[in-house]
Amino acid sequence: MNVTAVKFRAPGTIILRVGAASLGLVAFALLTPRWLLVREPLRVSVDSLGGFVALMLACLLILTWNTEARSHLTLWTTCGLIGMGLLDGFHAALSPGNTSIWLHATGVAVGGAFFALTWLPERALSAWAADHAPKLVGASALALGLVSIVSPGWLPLMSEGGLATTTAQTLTAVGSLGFFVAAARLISRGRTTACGHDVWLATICMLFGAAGLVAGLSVASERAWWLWHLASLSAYVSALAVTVSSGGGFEETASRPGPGADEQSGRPAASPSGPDEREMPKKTGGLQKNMSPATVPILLEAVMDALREPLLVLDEELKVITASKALYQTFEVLPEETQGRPLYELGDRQWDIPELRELLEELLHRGTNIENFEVSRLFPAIGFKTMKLDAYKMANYGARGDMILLAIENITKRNAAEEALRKARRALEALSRCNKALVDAEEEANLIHQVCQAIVDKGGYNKAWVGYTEEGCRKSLRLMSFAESDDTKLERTCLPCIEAQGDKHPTNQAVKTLRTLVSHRPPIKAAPKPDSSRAASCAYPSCIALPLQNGRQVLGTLNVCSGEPNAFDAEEVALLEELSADLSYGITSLRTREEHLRAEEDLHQAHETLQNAYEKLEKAKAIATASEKLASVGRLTAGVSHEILNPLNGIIITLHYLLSDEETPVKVAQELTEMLTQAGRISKISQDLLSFARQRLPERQLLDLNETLIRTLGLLEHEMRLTNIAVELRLSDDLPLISADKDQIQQVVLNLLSNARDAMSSGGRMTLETAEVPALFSRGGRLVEFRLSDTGPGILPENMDKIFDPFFTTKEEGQGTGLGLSVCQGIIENHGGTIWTESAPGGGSVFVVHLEVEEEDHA
Amino acid sequence: MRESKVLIVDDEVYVCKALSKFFAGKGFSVVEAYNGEEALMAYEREKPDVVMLDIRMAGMDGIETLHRLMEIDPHASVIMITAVHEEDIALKAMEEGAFDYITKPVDPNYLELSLVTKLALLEGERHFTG
Repeated sequence: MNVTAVKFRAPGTIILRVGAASLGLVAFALLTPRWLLVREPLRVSVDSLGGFVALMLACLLILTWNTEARSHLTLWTTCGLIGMGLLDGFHAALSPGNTSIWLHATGVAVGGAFFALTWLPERALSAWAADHAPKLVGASALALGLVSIVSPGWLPLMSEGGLATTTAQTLTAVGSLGFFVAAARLISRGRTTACGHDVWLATICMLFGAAGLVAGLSVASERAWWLWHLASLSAYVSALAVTVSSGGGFEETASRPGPGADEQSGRPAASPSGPDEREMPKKTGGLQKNMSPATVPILLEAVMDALREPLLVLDEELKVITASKALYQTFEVLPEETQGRPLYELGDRQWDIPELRELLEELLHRGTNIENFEVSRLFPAIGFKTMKLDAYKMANYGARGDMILLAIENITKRNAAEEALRKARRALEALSRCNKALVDAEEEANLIHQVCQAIVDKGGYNKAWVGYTEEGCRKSLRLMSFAESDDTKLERTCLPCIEAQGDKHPTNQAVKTLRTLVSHRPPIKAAPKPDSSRAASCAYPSCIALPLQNGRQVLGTLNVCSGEPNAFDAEEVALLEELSADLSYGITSLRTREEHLRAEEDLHQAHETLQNAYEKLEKAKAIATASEKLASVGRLTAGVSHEILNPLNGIIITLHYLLSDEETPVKVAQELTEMLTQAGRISKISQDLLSFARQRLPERQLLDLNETLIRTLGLLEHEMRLTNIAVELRLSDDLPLISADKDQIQQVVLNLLSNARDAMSSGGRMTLETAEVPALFSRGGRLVEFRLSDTGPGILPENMDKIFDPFFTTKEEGQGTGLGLSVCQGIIENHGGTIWTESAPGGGSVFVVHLEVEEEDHA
Repeated sequence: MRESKVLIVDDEVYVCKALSKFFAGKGFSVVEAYNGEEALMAYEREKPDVVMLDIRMAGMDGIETLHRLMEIDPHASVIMITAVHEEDIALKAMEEGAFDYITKPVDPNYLELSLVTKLALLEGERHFTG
């Protein structure tokens, strides 16, 4: 039977129970055959059993009485049961008679009286009474019982003529009344506290009351005797059961405080009433059952000390009554410094928390429990602590008034662990995002920026920046990327280079030693130098500098700053080191990749250059071979031609002479003319061969094309005049110089002019133009253009693509070898230029030459 | 009008003689010289109206001879005779003071035309100044 589990429902429950019990008893007493009821052994057994249970109950109550934990209700009911139990015990031990009835009647009176005292207010209970009343009652009852047995002579007459005397009737009636009054009190209390315990007590009271009423009739009636004893026995057994099940005494657990607990205070003593306050939570009930009340406080202290969490007991003025050992250890204080002092004076007044005081006052006055009140304080002796407080009120505890039990849970470590876990999770998240950035990285600057951003965004740090070591300057770091959570973002543009200040700077140390450096105090107290130094001078309480390295080669540092003090624990440092290693790897990989790409590009370019060089070489070789061949052929041809030309010159002159001689016969003159024609042919062939043979690589020099044109034209001016050719010059005034072989260009111009002259044997107009080719039409370098137009017959379309072929000629047989334009083309192409013709039949022909302008860097 | 005198300078004796005969046939007074030195001496001695000077000659070449000749008489009228591929040299000669050049093989008719033109100019100058 678990009393605490039984909930109070209604007084009806009690009436139902008592009614049922009474009916059962009445039925038993009335229906049981008389012969059975008068059987002496049965009567003695029931009487003895009742006495035994009563004694046992009284003894148990005396032994387990614990002052500290009891309310006044418990005290009075305990006293009543002890007194009545002892007297009833004596009563059962005696054979029926005056003494026996006397003991029983006084027992009922004493029990009823004590039970009725439950109406007294709580504060009427004195500490002395609380401590000693049960024992006194026990001793008194014992004394009364013994005296009654030893000298029954002075006892009043209790039965007379088979009937109970007035004295006996009065005592039992008074006792019964007391029980009924107590029952009323318990029922009224039970309604406010909803405590199952009260229901049982009320039931017991009713049974005792009923038993007392019937007792007066027992002398006359057998059945009344049985009723009385059975009711009494049931009440004792119930009381014993309640006592045992509730752990010793009549202590009960209220599920909540009754709002109307005080409503009945101040009533007259005749109708004893008093609020029954909420009791201390069930803590020592089990103890009281097993040990003497004297040992309980010691044990409680031991229990308090055994608790791992600090515990404080405060009085109404919030002064410390006592505290657990854990409190002294946790806060590193001595008991004498703590006990008797107000809570808010403790720990260098760190406990002076207005909000807590307010809550404690409210707890005292209204009974509002405090739960999970969190306090974070920096204690001088033990540093920063975070605690959770629970407080309960122990109402009307003995004579000391209300008390508060303040349980403190030190959650500093748990918070720290949670914080560490949270940080580790954040670091992991940052690491994960950084790794993603590493995997996706295409470009170095972007990678480090993403990593910095991830550290700030995901890692929850205040600042992250990456600096690269400058080549040849170990103390200088160049800021590469920067991320900051604060609003005070630094302008990147004014941070091209960071001079890390001094060798002690963690960044510098990290660069020097290639080890992670954690600084929990700013090395530079944010001495605000202008611009650049601000980024390096870390004003954050916690900074970590992690070297970025490729083997032993230091690349720079990754720096992370946090606004929290001691922000980097070992696990975080390990994670950040992993991150910096990953970042180093990422940077190195990207650089390697870039180098590979660059090398590939270089290789490609080198290949192209080589290819070009090879092609040029091939071309040069071909030209060299050709020019060598030409040179040797040329030398031969030139020699031969020259040697032919000289005598031929003589022959031609002689032929002219003979033809001009009037004495020469006509027939001879005709032959001579033919000879002259053939000699001219030889001469022309020799000259062309000479020109063709004399092709050579140009010997370049700075050349003014206009000047060359005018000079060359000068050579032919006389001839032009003779053949009636008008020459028009349209030369550009600011023609750029070209780099060319003067003789060769002159040869080309002369050749073209000669051709034009030959094309206009009967006169005409020749136009010479020079100009710089507009940039739009000149691919690559600048070009100058020389354009020669004549008004001759022009070139037939079918001959257009043949006119530059060697030995192609449209001139009459003997007039040309077809080498002139071929030589011109060769020369122009050797100069890197182009020559072509534009012609419209009837409109004359146009020869166009493009030559490269001499750029300044070639000069 | 007096008979115009022409000094023909060529180390090729055959060519020199052919020209000499040609111009003699045309009614010019002809003086021959077979090298530069001879030419200079003949010029001083004969005071010719026009000199026909071959560029390529053994010993003192035509350009050198022209240079020396111009020192003796800056107004000397000189026609250079040259091979086709030596036209640039001829051009240089004209800068030095020659009034015309003719490429080999010489067209005597053109040479005569040029000579006559020059002589006419000289006659005009003389008439004008004198």
